[in-house]
Amino acid sequence: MQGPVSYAIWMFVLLAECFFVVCALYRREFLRNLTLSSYMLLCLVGNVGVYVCSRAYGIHSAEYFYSYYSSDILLSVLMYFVIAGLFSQVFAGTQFSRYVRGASLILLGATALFAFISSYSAGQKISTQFAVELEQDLNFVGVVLMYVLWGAVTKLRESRLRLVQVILALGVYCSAVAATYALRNLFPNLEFSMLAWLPPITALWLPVAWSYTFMRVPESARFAPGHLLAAPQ
Amino acid sequence: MIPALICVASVAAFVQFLVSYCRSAIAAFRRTEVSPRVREVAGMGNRGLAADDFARFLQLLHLCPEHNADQLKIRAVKTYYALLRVLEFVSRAFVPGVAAWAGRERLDCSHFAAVALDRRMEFSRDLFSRQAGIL
Repeated sequence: MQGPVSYAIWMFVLLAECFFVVCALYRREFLRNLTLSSYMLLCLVGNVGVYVCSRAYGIHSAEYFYSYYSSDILLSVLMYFVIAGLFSQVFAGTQFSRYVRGASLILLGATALFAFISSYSAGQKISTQFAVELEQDLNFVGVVLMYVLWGAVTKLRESRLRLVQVILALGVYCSAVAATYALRNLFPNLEFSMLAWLPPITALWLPVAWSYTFMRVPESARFAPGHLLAAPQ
Repeated sequence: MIPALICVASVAAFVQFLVSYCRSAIAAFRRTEVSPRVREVAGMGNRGLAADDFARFLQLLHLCPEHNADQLKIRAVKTYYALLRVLEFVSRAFVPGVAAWAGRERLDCSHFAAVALDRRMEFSRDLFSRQAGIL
């Protein structure tokens, strides 16, 4: 993160996350959407922590490096809780609902183990390249899960507009982040040029899209799911 | 090799999720019929809605007082419409099926804009009535 524009985007991300959390509390939807709201609250806390670190130690310090990537990796793992929550909402009332919780726990355990083994094997030499690769892998698993979830939504003909928009917004976010980190992995020289701007811009998308959905789409809103299934012939 | 595969798969997923997101935003307006008032204002007469009517409805939308509730959605659909126009132009010669699909999607965008215009006109009328009531 460098330059006034990057800081401005960062501030917008903080404000958007703060707006989402405050709105959820004000509209008394925090507990009803506990996983989404908690995830956004933790994003906010993580961003504030990284900002404090950057002010205290500077953006070229090891402290900033570790705080930036460790909070990002932790949030990527926590995102699986959100995805698991969305899975249980989509499968609620079906015969698969009882398996979702077990599958989520196994997935979360496997992901945490993978992240731990990767970090452990890197030892003291955790580099930007390592962090980028780990983030890319974690987010790509998120994309695969979102794709499976989207398949379930279309198969079950889910008609709850708010839920569908929340899922799609998260799908856009996961795939954008995974693509960005894959690009950074492919072209490490571009890290401090245009690719440095993409993560904060994608981070801005999620709180804005979710805030919009929760503010403007009532929980009772339904739509014809067949419309989303129509594909080019 | 693996980062390249992840990149391609993620970009493909990104495009699909983004298109579906835009379609879900438009889908919410699909059930609403275009009112005779909007037809009259847009000078449509008895003809049906066309994909190219979107620009006309957008011009009329800009003439109405802004209604914060729909501003973000209109911008998103405007971007989606622009992407569809490009896709339709590019694919017309090579993949006619995709061009036809893009045309149908543009028609849905026009329908969305017409319903948004109707809501803004209703909002403006309410605003005017309230101001008239105060005076």
